[in-house]
Amino acid sequence: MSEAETPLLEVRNLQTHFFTELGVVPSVNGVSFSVKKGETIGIVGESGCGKSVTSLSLLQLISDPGKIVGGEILFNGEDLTRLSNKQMRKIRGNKISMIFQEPLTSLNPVFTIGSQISEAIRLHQNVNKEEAKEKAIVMLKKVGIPRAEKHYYSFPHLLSGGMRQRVMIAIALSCNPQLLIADEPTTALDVTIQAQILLLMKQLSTEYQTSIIIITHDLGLVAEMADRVVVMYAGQIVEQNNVYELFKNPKHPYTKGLLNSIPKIHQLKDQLESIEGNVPIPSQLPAGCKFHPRCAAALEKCRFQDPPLFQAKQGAEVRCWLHQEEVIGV
Amino acid sequence: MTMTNETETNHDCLLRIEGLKKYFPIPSGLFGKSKQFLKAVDGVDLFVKKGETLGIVGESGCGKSTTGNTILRLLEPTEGKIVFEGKDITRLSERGMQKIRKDIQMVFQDPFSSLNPRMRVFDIIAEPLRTHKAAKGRVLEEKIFELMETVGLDRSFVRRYPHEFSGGQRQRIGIARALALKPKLIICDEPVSALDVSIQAQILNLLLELQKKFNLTYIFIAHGIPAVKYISDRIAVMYMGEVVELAGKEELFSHTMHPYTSGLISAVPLPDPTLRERNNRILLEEDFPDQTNLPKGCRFYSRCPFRKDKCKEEKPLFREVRKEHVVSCHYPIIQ
Ligand SMILES: Nc1ncnc2c1ncn2[C@@H]1O[C@H](COP(=O)(O)OP(=O)(O)OP(=O)(O)O)[C@@H](O)[C@H]1O
Ligand SMILES: Nc1ncnc2c1ncn2[C@@H]1O[C@H](COP(=O)(O)OP(=O)(O)OP(=O)(O)O)[C@@H](O)[C@H]1O
Ligand SMILES: [Mg+2]
Ligand SMILES: [Mg+2]
Repeated sequence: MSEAETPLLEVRNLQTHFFTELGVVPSVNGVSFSVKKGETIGIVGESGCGKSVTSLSLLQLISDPGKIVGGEILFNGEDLTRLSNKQMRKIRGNKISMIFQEPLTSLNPVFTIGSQISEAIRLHQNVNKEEAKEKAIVMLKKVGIPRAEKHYYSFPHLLSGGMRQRVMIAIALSCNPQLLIADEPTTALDVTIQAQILLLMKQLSTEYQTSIIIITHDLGLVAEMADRVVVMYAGQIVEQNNVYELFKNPKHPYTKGLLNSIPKIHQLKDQLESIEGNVPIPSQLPAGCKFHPRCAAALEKCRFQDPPLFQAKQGAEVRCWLHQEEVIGV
Repeated sequence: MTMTNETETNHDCLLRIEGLKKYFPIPSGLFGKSKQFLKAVDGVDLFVKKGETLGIVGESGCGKSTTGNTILRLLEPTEGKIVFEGKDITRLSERGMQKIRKDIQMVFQDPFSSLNPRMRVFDIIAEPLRTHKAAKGRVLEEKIFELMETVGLDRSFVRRYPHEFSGGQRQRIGIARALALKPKLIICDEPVSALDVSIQAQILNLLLELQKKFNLTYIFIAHGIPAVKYISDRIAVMYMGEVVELAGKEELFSHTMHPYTSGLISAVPLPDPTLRERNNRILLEEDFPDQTNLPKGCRFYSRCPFRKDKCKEEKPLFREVRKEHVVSCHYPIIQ
């Protein structure tokens, strides 16, 4: 991170809250990270920790009763939280695209896949119908749809889950975005199909130098795909580091616990350690460190004082009082 | 089949299924009066020894749940034989099955929908005990507290409803209910797939602990190799209604023979970035046959990276290639 190069995306202290009848839900509570050009960031965490709300916030797609109540989202130096809807529409699907978990619900069932890609292309590029179609077919081929000219006229329900996700990727990449946000892009797919989709994303990101934010609950997927990893817990980042260090030297007790609780198929024998207790509900967060009720190493302090993000050894940023002594500078 | 003959005389064998088939009729449209079938389970031979865990793994739609449900006769088998404790239960009457169901319990994937939302924890766990008139009054109450403790639920939760619990806690309730009648066999159908990562290990370890404590036998069904590998002693890999490979856990991983098993294992993302460039991965193509009109040869033909002409023409037999390691492939991978 020593380069003078400014990151493509810089999220600073993002706070997105939901104002429900039962009270304020601080779904995302002070999240900061950045993404460089060509870099793949993995955001990992369990159900409800705020991964999707983070990604929807980046695209300004939070609707009532949710609101971004604080922070900045700098994309090419421009704060997206200050843009009008109209300005944001020009960025979405163009410079920043997104793919979601369930490709069937994000494709329109009454239009052919070809017309949906063409439309996406024409929305942001100054091309005529014929050119859009040509480009669409090129994209379909690129993402590995067999007989692309024929499938151009297929309706989404005729394709398998994996093929539909390929189409979504084709749409997402058709405008050459600088940033692709993939929220659980393979969770609904079988593992052999997932492997193909991940490979495709890797190849395309190398080819186009697209930056990717990949959101998942699967630590394995992050280990395969990401350059940097952001671990979230209860609306906050608890640890972030480059992927090799994070897996070699996990620091936060939650990160360690997660790594110890997944079965390893490349080791013949393994013993799982589980993290006791349950994932907290965001409307009923504990005081102090959000993880302390489940933490075997918790100190007295952890019950009352929410730790800040410490700069620790090996480049890690850790939200944990145990790593306080490792502070390097501020 | 040599494998089943071997166990015929084996007293350790708790459950054996032979040539099990379950075909679902496909509602025919306007055309074609000829009845078509979806062969969800198509000739499965398996046995489960007392006290062991047999894992069944395979991707969506390969017939895992149908196999489990047919064993319990929640679905009527189309063909084949189900033998439990030496007794053929394939055509047992509903009354006869009632007794067997005390001994075979099920834990389901979705703890959210498998628990009646209008029942309190007490009544959910009590239900099987009441149905089988196994306990009432104080005894019932004591039993329920004991079961809750066994699965790690605080007894103060006893009056609560399922929606007041997290996914992992609900799965514990489901397990307590399954344990209530002291079953011999528990069929776990994706018991951890819907749970958070940090909770999955809790439930897997709980299942292992209970197995030791009560000498339970499990059939553990899942689509994810890692969990199956962790908990099972032997593993059956299913593909399109058939078991394509079956072996002890260590044998299966150290001497994987079926190209599908190999593809399934290498598709699992490993939580170790230093292994990401591993080049021995087998990537499977995405070319599935029509499940209602299966090819005459090997069902894996269209996706197999090693297919040969013979595979298209001739269906491979399920045969023992190494000791206690059975595979249905003309050209098993030999390491
Ligand atoms: N419209 C909403 N109203 C109220 N709360 C909401 C709303 N949308 C999200 N939340 C809450 O915000 C929290 C974070 O949700 P989010 O969808 O970001 O989780 P996630 O990390 O993506 O989880 P998952 O892995 O289940 O997708 C959750 O507790 C959720 O209940
Ligand atoms: N009641 C039914 N009627 C018709 N077809 C069915 C029925 N139940 C299952 N099938 C079909 O049988 C096949 C096997 O289904 P099954 O549920 O056993 O798969 P599975 O291996 O458990 O998959 P999953 O991992 O998705 O749970 C599928 O093609 C399914 O669509
Ligand atoms: Mg989400
Ligand atoms: Mg199933």
